[in-house]
Amino acid sequence: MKRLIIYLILFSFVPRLWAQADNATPKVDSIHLPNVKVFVCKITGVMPYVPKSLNLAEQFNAETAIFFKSYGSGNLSTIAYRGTAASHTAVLWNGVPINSLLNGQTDFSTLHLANADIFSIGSGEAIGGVVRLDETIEFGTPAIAVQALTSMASYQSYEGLLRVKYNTKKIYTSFNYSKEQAVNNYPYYNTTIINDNADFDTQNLGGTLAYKFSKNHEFSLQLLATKTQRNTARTLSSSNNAYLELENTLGLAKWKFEHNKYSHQFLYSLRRENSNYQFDKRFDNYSKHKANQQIISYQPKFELDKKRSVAMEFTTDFTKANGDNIVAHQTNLTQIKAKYQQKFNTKNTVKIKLAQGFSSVYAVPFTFDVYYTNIMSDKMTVSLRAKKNYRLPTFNDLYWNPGGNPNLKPEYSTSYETSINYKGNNTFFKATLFYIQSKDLIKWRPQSGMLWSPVNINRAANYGFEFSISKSINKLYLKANYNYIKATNLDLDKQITYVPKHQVRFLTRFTLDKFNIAMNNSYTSSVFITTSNTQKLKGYLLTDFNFNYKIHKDITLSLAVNNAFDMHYMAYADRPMPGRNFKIKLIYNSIFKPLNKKKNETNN
Amino acid sequence: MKQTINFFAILFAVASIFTSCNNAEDPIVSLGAYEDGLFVCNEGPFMSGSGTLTFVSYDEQVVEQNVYKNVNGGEELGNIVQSIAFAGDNVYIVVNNAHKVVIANRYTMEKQAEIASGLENPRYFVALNETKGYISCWGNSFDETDDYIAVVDLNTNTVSSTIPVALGPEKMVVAGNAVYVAHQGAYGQNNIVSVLENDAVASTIAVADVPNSIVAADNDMIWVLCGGKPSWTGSETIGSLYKINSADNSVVSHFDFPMGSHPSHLTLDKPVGEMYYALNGGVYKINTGATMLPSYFIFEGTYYNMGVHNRKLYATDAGDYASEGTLHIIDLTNTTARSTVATGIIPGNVNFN
Repeated sequence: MKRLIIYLILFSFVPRLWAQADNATPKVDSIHLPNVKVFVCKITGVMPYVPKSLNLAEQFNAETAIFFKSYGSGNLSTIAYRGTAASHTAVLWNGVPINSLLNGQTDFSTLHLANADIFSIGSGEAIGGVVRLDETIEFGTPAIAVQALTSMASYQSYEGLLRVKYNTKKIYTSFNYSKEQAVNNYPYYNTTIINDNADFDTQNLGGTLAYKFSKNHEFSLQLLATKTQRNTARTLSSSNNAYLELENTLGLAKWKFEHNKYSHQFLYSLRRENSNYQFDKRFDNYSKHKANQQIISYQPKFELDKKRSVAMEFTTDFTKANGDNIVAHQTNLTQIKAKYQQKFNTKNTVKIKLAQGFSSVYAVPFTFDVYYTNIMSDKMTVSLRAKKNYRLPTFNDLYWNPGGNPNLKPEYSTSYETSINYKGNNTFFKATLFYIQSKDLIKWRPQSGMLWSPVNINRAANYGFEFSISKSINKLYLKANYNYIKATNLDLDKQITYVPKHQVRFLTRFTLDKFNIAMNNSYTSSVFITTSNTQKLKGYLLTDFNFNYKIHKDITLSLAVNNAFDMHYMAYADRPMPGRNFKIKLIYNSIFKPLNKKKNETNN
Repeated sequence: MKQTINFFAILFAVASIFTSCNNAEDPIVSLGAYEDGLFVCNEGPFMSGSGTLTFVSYDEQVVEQNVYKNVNGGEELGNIVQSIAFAGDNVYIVVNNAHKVVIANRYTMEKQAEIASGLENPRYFVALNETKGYISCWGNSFDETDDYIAVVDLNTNTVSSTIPVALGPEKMVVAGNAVYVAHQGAYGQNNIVSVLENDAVASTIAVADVPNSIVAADNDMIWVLCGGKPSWTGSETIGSLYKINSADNSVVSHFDFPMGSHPSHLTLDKPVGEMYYALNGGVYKINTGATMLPSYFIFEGTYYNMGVHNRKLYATDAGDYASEGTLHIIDLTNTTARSTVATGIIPGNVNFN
């Protein structure tokens, strides 16, 4: 009995108090609208990319001006894209959603760099954003590529990564394993408190096997497995003895077939999610939950002529969950999407997507997405977009015992955005204005006595401005991002908690032969921590320095000084973040083409 | 110039003499800024910050937030300020999740001491006499067998011994030489009242499920309000109001509520013998001489906690639990709202100085 309440409190209502609400079971999206590349970590990159960290929480934090609500280094870290809740952003791995089936969120601390090549973000089929982690399946000249990374950092933090790729003209395979662990016992500034019970160990394992039967047929099998073992760190005002174990396994099979103007894709995925929470390590008390999901999808596409194409998507998923606090349930969602694309001339394109879903649990709203682009010049593009999206209540929301509400409706949003893109030879910039209006947002609140229950109650309006620019001047590379977000809880007419109005990133990198030095500055303005906007966490400016040295053509040695000016800050109330800390990395990147002697000889 | 400064210096000196004289002649000596009012315990944001105390003067003219922090140089109380109680010149502030009790002067709020060891999940404090206090403790929240009452030596402010008790000791009252402990049941449910005498459990009295509040009225009578098990437990039971005679620890009578009703927050206005409790969005009144439960509430309202003092009801509203709450003050002579004042985050227990 005790455990259910604590668990509910920890994992259901607390996150929801701050956010407008949570959720999202994002769906497979075959019709890709442009996402913005956040970073590319391909083995085959020209200049080996030196990541800040293996884990995507730190990595996205370093590369974007998007706020992550972080419970502290290595601990729960969730995205607040454009001021929306964590579960409003769909995270897709090779097109398949990996948000928690139980609470709808994605903990970016549990995901590693090795799981994909291209990491991008945009506003897609979700109330907030869509983060894509995509592996590029490439066939061609036989080659083996190897990437290895090992690091050692303050507070007994270690990372290791190994990634191997092999391909021929018919076969593509990849394998990756990575591990991050840390004692994470950093001191809290101005106190004698050490961040204890904060050690963690996360492991990711993955691989791809793809075969090109013919010019038209391609079959692939992919695997992603993640395991996180984490003690949940203390806070400034209280100690903690809890332990959390999360396991996710996802298998994905795709068959692509192209024939003249037709193309087809069949997709099947199977996913299991296990969560095991121990309230107090000194006692045998657990709250265990399991969920699994199968997705079957068929996605045909037909090109009517050079200017017009039609695509359809039929997707159905079966999701099951049960556990100590979830009454076993199975839900089914079937979605039919139709997309039409027309180029009016060489400059104007319109894409329209209509979608209707059918759920065994709730009425699913009809949604659409209209996207218009105009190529103003060979360097300048403008776009306009209007869309409606929804987010389905999660298993926790529906079936948590006690308190779950099976009568919840999906959350619903209408959004608009317009962007301008400029792509010059050495300069790139993009500016976007967005507006998201959402309603029926789910919030947990006490119904009677101490029983908390979720209801569709809140409304929010988020608008803002995003700007990014990058420029290369000889050996100097500059990149800047600025995000302004006004996210209003319309019922209170207050800024939503944990949404900074201003976020700025500024990267300067100077490369000289085998040596490069980079300075990454990020400023996050203050965030409110009470819904009444009476209390806030102060804003902070962080500066990281990186010194990278190529000790061999394939090996880079890197030294990082993070939070170099020892800024005292928190990204979540009561949870101080680490001060100045250091990291040494050794990165190995290499490509062999041993299996194509003939070609090598020819090249020579 | 120099002369001017001297002139002002003298003027100030003279003025301060006058001020001191006035004070000295004042027949009522103020014990401190917080002598004439009540404190609201604000639990604070769950798992992410410190609780606070709000002071409200009885004339409702003075409202001060973060009283303890203001007086004690910015020191925070810690996570989840559960309750406070007074004894002598001191206030005992029970900080549940920080596993400690902070002792301050009840009139000035200046910190005196802290009991930081021997307390695991402390809930309520009660003073048995001038030298001894009891603190109900859940022990570890996940161990249903380690609950205890910590016996505190009020001279040394240390835990001198512990009394093991059944699951979930919560609110306590003193009657004669005995302490009556209501076992609400912590995260579970329980259905007893323990009677402690000579630092030991002298007896236990069976009551209905979930005794959530207890008050000591005149004529040796102890009243215990039991909420009953809620429906989500899968074994719902009825709530009941128990009347216990502390002279012989017998149950004098009990008034049962209908199935599905789960009353809470019994509070007593002792001089007038009126008790109030909350049920289904209403506040009910029952006299200590009553022979049956009231049929109608005296006014509507859902509150997180409440207390009664001098014919006024002080009821807290935790709002959305993620921002400051409010305290509603209701005049019970005519059941009209007097005023509403702001509190800290999740305002809970109300205590009268």
